[in-house]
Amino acid sequence: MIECIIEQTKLHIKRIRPLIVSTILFSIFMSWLLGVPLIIEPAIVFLCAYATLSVVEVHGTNFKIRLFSCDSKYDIIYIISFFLTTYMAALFFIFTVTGFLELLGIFSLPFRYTLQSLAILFHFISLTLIGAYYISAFFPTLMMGLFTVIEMVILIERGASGTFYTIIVTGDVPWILVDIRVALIMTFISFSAVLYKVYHAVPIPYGLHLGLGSRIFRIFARFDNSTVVLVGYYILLVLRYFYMFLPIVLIPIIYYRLSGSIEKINVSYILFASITTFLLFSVGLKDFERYRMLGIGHIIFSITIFVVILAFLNGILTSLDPKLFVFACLSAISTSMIAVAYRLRKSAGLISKIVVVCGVIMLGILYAVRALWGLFLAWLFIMVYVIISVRMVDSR
Amino acid sequence: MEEIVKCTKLSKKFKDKVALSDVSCKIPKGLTVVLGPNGSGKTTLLRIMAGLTTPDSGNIRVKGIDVKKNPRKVRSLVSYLPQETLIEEMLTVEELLTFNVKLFGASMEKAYRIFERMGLSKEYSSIAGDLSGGMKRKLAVALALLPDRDIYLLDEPFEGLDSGSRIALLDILEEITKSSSVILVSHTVISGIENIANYLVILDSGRLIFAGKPEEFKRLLCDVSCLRLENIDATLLREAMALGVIVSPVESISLIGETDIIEKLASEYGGKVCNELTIGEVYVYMLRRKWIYADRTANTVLNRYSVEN
Repeated sequence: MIECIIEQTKLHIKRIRPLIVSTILFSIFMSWLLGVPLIIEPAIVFLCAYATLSVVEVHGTNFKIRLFSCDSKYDIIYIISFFLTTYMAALFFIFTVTGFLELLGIFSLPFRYTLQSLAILFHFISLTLIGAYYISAFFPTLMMGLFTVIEMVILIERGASGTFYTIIVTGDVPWILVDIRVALIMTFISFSAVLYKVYHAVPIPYGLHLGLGSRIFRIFARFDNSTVVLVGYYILLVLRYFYMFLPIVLIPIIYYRLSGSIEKINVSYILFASITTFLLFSVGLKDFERYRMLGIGHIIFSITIFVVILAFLNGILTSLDPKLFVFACLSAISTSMIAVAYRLRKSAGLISKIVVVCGVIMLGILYAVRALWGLFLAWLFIMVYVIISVRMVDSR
Repeated sequence: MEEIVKCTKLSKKFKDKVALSDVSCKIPKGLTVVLGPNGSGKTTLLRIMAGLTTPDSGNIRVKGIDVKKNPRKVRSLVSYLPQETLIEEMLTVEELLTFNVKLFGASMEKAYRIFERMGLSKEYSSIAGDLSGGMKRKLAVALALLPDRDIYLLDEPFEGLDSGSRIALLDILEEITKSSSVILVSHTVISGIENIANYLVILDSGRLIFAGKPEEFKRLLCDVSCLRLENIDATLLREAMALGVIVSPVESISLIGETDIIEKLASEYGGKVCNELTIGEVYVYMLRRKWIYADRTANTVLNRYSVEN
């Protein structure tokens, strides 16, 4: 089974070969731009995230065949990976949040906020990952997990956010620079991951089949089939699919206009809740063009999340509560159980249905104890959204 | 006769649509062809055999193992080719070969031999995503044949293949069936398959129409003959169709109908009347008519057949 996992990991590395080069170049560019030492660890994180997302897609399409591989124990790898990826992706995004928080507000992030972000996002990402298809990014996930755990240890010891390389190698650094760099890299990740399905990680000419922008771009690509072209192509696609990002950008602005004030932490929650949901739903879809309905669904979803969740978060997260962390963990476990059971509903039949029902009840009790009915309602909404999305895509 | 699959009263519904209804059959070792028109339940039956779909009711055993209770064990015996062409499009053909050999535990030597015979050896350096639809299908079929398994479940393996590749695939299947079993699904009878197939399963609208040996299937039609045409004569075709004769385009153009009508057409337009129909001709004839069947037994389903105009 281990050999099987290694082979699959090798395949995923092959899938992202062109991106390794572009990521390193991007890191060099950002280091030059900001006048700081080479930042290599976001590149590693980026590659891990990218590999994970690519694997999500692979197993969406090829799962039927893969089930017969690895001495027919592939489904075990899948279940383990599903849990692992759920948790690791949650941790991974925590650090994205810390980076963005500082980027948005240019303020130093207190540790308690990080912990609270962790609690909420841990739970939130678990929910959104339900929508992702079959995952067996075993090694990429482990790498990502290892990386984030190291960062977390440093974070706890120092009482502030930062990245591994800068702390170990450069010693005392201006935190804001570190986080800006991380944030920028993460932005790049977000766009790359969304565009992943369009680009397919193959040499540039093979992805060029979309729209006028691409047609113009193809002329340049004929002369220069390099990484620079690849990055340019990304930018074009970002512009092309900007309408998909519009609700994410607009929601905090609308909130601000309506309420007259907004806390920076709330902006971050809105942005990341929306972006991560969007990303995780986006992978596994064959082409954005063909799934406009999902885009519309996402807009409705984003607005509902905004209305339901934020109203509660605003009042709740004003003081540090370590129990929240435990609560979030329990939520994440229940959610993952439900996610796996839902995916296996066809083969596991009644047991799977029982697990789903028990999971929902358990979550309901958890939320009731915390008196977070709003979050629970939001969670139910997400579940319905995810199930509808998955069915919609499955039926095509 | 060693049986590799035994289905007992299999039923499966997708919402209101009946995919399979009370299907019972025993599939022996060798090459079995599951035939049926679109939506007849062939793929569902194959997926149930592979443990990918759970039947609503009934039992299925593959090599004596209950698929519902032990799907993993069944999967270890099976190689499966889905109807859709699923390949890693960003890899080269050779990379795909190596990857699949390692993932499914096949031998490199065998893999290269199959690729050679399927005419894929010239494409080793090509990126799979760049290949034409037919080549991609050929690649998917070749990859499904790589693992050494007891049973190969192939869903429409001939679909989209050129005639050369079809012949090559028939050759490979003939070789495979010496040591393993192949169950393949097809919506049409492939020319040459009757020489190597030793069992036929025919489904229509989720119901089992026939399960038995090809010779038994051929014997189902009485007083039906055919007129094989070398040249297409529009007047003849029009007249034949007016008389309720079935035109079969499977191998060559054949007019199939009741013997007296066919003899009448032959005397009028010339041509030799054949009383022994091929599997393809029998299948097309029976498909175009309404299947009417009565008492069903384990091996031979059709005891009585009548034509309904």
